[in-house]
Amino acid sequence: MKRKILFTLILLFFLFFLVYPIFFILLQSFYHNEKFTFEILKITLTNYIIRKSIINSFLLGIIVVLTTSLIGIPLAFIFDRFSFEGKSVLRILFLLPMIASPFVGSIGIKQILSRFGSLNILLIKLGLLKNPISWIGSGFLGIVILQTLHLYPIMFLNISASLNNYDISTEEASYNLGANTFQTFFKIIFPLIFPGYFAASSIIFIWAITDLGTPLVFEFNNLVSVKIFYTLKDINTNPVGYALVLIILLLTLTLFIFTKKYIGKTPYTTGRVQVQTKEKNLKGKKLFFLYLFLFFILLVSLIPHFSLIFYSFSKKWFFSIFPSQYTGEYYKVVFTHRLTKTGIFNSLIYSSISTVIDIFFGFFIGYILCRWKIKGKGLLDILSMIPLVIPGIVLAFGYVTTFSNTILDPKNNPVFLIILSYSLRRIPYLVRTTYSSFLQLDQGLEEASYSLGSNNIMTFKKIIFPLISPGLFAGAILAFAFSLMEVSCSLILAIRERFYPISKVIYILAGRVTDGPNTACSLGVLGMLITFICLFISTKIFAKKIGEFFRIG
Amino acid sequence: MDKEILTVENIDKSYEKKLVLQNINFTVYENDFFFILGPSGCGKTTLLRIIAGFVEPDRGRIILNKKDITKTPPNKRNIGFVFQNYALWPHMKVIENIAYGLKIKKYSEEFIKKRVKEIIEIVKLEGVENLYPSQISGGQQQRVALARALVINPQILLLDEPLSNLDAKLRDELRREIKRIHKETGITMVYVTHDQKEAMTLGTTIAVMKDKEIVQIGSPYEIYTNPIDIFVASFIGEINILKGKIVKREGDLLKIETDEGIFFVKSKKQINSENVSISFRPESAVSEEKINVIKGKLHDYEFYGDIVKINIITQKGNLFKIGVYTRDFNKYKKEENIIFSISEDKIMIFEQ
Ligand SMILES: Nc1ncnc2c1ncn2[C@@H]1O[C@H](COP(=O)(O)OP(=O)(O)O)[C@@H](O)[C@H]1O
Ligand SMILES: [Mg+2]
Repeated sequence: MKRKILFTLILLFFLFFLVYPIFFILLQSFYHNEKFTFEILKITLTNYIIRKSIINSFLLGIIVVLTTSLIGIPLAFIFDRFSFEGKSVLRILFLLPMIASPFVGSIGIKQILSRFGSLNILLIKLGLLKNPISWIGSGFLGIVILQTLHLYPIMFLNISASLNNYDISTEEASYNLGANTFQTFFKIIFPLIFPGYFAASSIIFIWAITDLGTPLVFEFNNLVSVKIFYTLKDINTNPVGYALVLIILLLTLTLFIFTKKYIGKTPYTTGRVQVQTKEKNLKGKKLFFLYLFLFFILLVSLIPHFSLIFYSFSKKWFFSIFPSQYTGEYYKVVFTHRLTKTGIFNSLIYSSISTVIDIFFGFFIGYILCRWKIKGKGLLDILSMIPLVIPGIVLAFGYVTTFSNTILDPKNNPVFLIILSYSLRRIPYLVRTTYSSFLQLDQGLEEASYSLGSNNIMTFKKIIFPLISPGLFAGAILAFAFSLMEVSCSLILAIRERFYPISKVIYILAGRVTDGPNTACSLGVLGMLITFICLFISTKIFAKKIGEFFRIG
Repeated sequence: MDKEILTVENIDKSYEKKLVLQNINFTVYENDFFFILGPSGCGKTTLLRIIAGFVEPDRGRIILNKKDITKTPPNKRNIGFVFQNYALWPHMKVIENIAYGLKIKKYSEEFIKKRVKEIIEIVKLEGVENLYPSQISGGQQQRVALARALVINPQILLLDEPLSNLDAKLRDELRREIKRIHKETGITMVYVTHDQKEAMTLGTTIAVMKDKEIVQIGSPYEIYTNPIDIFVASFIGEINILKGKIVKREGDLLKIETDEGIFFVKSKKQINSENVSISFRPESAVSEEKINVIKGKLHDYEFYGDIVKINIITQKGNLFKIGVYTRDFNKYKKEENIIFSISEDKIMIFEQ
């Protein structure tokens, strides 16, 4: 009985705050002047500017998939096939680019790429350039660069996992039958890693086209995401926004379903039995070039981060590669300025509460999916995974439109919806963590407790919770970090100044002249630091403990 | 008469329409070392989990100390359970694992200390009390699992293939330990295994299971010498089988025609059909030429140390396994024509 109530409440939560807003968008994009019509879609697709934005977004997505492939795939192969000194440390370092969102990084990198920025000065000093070039131009290139540097680790991780998943002997068999490297790659290796590649490409594609912060900083407005952002202001008279969100939603769902249905099912794993190691030892010149390549990539991908740090400490930075004068004053500003103080305070509150909500949902849904026999479990499974494929911009758009003129209207007080959007988007990760923890948790561990006279509550307190909590907290810390620096929902939902979270404050400050950008950078660096610390704690301490915990048996 | 501790009555259980236990009945008496022996997948674990209360049966009753506990939740049954994979709690030290049951029952600190120390001595775990399960060996983990279940003085202890995760040497050692612990504590045990050697060496009573049913219950001696069917006979030890037809009955004595000639069998069993299988164990054959003779050539052999099992191939091409002492082995190795006979009361007979 109690079970049914809890289960129903959780289902209702998802239905009301996830499914309903999505249906609302669907409805609105076909419902105009009190009748169903394709008019809105037609206007959207025939308007020149809008069409251009759609094409631009597509281009952006495809280009970023290509660039991340160019970096991520070779990296994955290097780590899979060669052994070299410092490999494990380097592997972690290559994940570092992810600690700052491209939105934050773009504020720093503008200083590097601008007409009189570091890059041009450097090239002129080296005699490679006569007249400074405007690298940013329209801003498109800047977006591509930042998204690439932020997203290639996703490609790297996915391809690494795919490579790890198949036996080297499948390749050797191909060579053995007379195929050359080229043939072997296209006939054997590529088909085997394709599922992983497709999944990663989908994630990157969607990420790139729904990114709102970066184009805003580069002031490149002809993208779908930016158009959605601006149409929200007059959504009642201009319903184009609905159609744009619909297009993104359809695209996301198609890719997701395709990945799940056709790619996810292909049973391409050839087993993990690896008799021979595939790693080769490199020596001399080859090893040198390998390091050169790795360090070059690493250095380039950390430029946004370093430029952000330099910018935050710079007092004067004109016509020079590095700042000519440094100061720590902007960090003081961060903790004294009214706006930054509000932002930090708000973000801490929003993220903390949303993390608590995540823990609650993560734990119970994971538990229910793993241990309960109840009708509608499949529905819960699907609902709790949907947030994975709903981009932040779609969710935020849905909230603003669905709940406008209700008690939850973000124009009055967005706190509830911001917290909700933060937590909803992380629930799938926590559900996955707890679910896999429960799967690993041998049922005998619980039964042993019952057989010794322990009741449900005691067993939960003494056995289940202590064993699940490392994974749960590791996930929660990550959820906290990501919420703290979340961009899309923060930009869209926080409309009034007193409710601004960190990201919105950074955005506002970056747009101000004089010392606004410096302060924005300091705040960005702080956020980066917190993210880094959370990531570190989460992977290092807990991952190790979890490992120790489950090594028995 | 011995006191009845556990009675299992008419238990049925299916999983998703697939029957895994059918009409299970048996009684376990005080101090018994009761074995449930059967091939893997026949439902042993399910049966044990039903007794412990982790699984509800579809039909039937579980009676513990004259009380029907079929509907009692597992934490109210006071039944000890040793899991196949031990199920030790990885986040608790050895001593915390062992003390858990006592703490749950809210005994005084003092008593818990005393009792835990006592049990640690019994299972010989001195010195590893403050380590975590992952830091001790497989054999020690097994001892912790035993101690944890024994410490609360359960009315009965259930063990699910407790030795199957250990290597051969440790298995022998722990088998002896379990026997000693049974003797020292006097606790009634129900032990599930697929290993006939464990059942034969430890058990006071064995219930042999075959595909969701119990087919025979008896002492190791009864089961070995008087198996109910060929399945039990071959599961519990090695046998030779020969098909035949009853041609004459004279009271207990049956005359049976086989393609290896005529065999005489003495059996009290009620045999209804004429078509039968006769069988004998390798050690029943003696090297004399009396009745029930088998002649053949040495085919191959397996060396066991004190004995050698030799396979004899007859002219008809049948193989018979026969045990001989190692010291006599050379004799058979040279011999062209090996002759054995089996006395008429050592031959087992089964309907076909
Ligand atoms: N929870 C379950 N759900 C469905 N089938 C099960 C479950 N547990 C056991 N079975 C099935 O019941 C049969 C008996 O299993 P089990 O009792 O584990 O056998 P044993 O312990 O003798 O190897 C097997 O066919 C097994 O697949
Ligand atoms: Mg079993």
